[in-house]
Amino acid sequence: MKKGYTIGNEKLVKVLQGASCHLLGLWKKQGKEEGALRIAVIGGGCSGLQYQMDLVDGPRDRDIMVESNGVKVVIDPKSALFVSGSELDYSDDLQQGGFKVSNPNALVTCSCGESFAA
Amino acid sequence: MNMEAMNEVIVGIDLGTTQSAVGVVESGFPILLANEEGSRLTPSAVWYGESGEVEVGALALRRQGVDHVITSVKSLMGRRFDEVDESERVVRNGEGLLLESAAGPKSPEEVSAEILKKLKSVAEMQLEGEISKAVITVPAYFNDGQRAATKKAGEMAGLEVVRVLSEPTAAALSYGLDRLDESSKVVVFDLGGGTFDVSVLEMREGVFEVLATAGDTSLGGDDFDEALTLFAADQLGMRWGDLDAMARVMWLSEGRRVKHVLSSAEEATFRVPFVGEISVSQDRFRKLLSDHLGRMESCCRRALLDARVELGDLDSVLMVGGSSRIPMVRKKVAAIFGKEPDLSQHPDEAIARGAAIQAGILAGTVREVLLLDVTPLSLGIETMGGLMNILIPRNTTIPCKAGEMFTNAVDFQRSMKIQVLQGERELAKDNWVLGGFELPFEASGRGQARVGVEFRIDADGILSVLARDVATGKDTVIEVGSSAVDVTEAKVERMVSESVEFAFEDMNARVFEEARLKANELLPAVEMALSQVGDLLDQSELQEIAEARAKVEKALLGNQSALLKEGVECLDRATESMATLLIEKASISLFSPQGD
Repeated sequence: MKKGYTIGNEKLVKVLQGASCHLLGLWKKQGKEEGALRIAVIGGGCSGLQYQMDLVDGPRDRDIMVESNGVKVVIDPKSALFVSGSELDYSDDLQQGGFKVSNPNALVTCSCGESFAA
Repeated sequence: MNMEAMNEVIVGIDLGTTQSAVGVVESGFPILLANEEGSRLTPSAVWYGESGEVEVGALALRRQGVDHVITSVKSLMGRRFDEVDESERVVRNGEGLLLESAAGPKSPEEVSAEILKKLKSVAEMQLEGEISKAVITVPAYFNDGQRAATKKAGEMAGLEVVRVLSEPTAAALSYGLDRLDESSKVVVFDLGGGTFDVSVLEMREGVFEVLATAGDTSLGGDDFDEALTLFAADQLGMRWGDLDAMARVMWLSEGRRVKHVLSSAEEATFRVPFVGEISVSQDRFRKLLSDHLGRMESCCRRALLDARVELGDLDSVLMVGGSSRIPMVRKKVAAIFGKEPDLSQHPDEAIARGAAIQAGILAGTVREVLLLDVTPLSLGIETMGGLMNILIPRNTTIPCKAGEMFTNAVDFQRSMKIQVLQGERELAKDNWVLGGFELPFEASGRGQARVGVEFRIDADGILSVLARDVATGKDTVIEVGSSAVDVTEAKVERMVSESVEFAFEDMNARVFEEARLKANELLPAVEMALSQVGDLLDQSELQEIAEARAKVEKALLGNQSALLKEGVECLDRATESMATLLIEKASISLFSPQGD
């Protein structure tokens, strides 16, 4: 865990087609085609842990970067422990539309899909 | 265009000895603005006519040899008469000096102001609005008097000089080196037309500090032209002293052309119409330059020595100035510093671009592009149960802000302690305290108070924390300083690796604490509900509640978050029908005329 970032693979996180299309479209619109998606897991939320997603320029020191379906995902090492094995999807549903993370490590997932318990 | 917005545009100006340039940041990128001739570089030449007319730039240069044209006025800025060579066309003016011109004596500031006026008009033409503010670069060795003279020249040209920036710093900015780590060391090698400067910079607290600077105010590309020209004249049987001013200009311009050719070719021909021609080889050129290269080297060595920097400590060597194009100069630089120089920026434009970037920072237009700083660690406040509640996660780009609503945990609480924390651990005690304050509010029942807490980090990395009692609208603000962003690498490393090492334990502790809080809230509530509506429940329901209670009470004694969580959920479910009854009872009493 020195300076710079490391490259991870899709075992850490996988971006599904729907999410990829949506993200790449979003970046294109913003004129930031070199961008990356930061996924962080932070304590709190209704089931103990919650996801935080952010569009960023690229990886920072100590991050792990995974390229999946054309999307660069950057994750800090602590979050990586909890994200490991997740899949990122996107749905157009009116009710629960937006990005969704499905996490095999999650024992309990709250109904809003924003938080989970490991 | 909105004039108010235009007033906020700050241009960056490289006021050079031989040429000057003006730039601005547009959509996040520094660009230089072209003058009427379509050139981004304007010669620093000024011509005055007898009736006071003034020409600047290429127009003025065209008169050279015919009329007196003032060039290299920069070398006279802020100088005393005694400091200047007698060969200069200057007259004493008290301590200072004035330059001769057809329109009478002019101060160096006045002449520089003409160049600045020209650049101002270029910018105004290109940006279609009035420009009133500028960042102007000066050599690192300029003393206070010389800097003040530069500032005065700006004012005379109708520009408020918001910053006088040192040239090597501007060069480093244009190379994007402001993103280097703390204590990175960089050499900026600037060999222009008339002057040579070499500076050693160190990055300290996000800004470059000039550790040492050395140079030669009469060493530059013009000397190389002259060396080539004198050699050619000699070879062609001409005596330099016999040539008139016009002829000299022509010979020198041929010398310059030959020098340019030699930057990419092995050999070039020096041609003078009606006189003859002579071929100059790369090898010959090197011999002609060897004296100059030697002087250059000793300046470099002196700067390194003064800065007390070892060659191995250098992170980067940047080359700017037109003469850094000369392959021989590049080789020499690589040899002196034991490092391949970085030549990726346009050598004539780098300083002006850097000035534009600095101007952009001051105007606020490049904040996001340039100060792409991030929070090295997460920031939050301590909440009930000693937990860390993150408001701004680690690696968030600044400037940024985030807020959350909090409430009181205990009945009749009169104040709330806002403890500002930094770190990655789940429990408050494992993180670092950056500051804190006590926010008073009206005493109210548990969960009644509403306190909004907002963290805001500005572009300079200063964190301010605002807490608002929603009931009264009263704000309390504290400034925590730059500790949110200024954290040493070693501390970040330690915090991050500990957070990974203890990740699961920490998370378990958090989940247990959250469940414990929930249990402690739930148990008395169940007790109370049972006393009010317990007689309305059937036996199996009461049994279920009792079992769930026992489960929770038992789990509270252990340390297993999963068990406690499960117990709490059981109790929650088991008391659902009781909760419904309670609500019904409450609404009946609410609507009954007698009240309760």
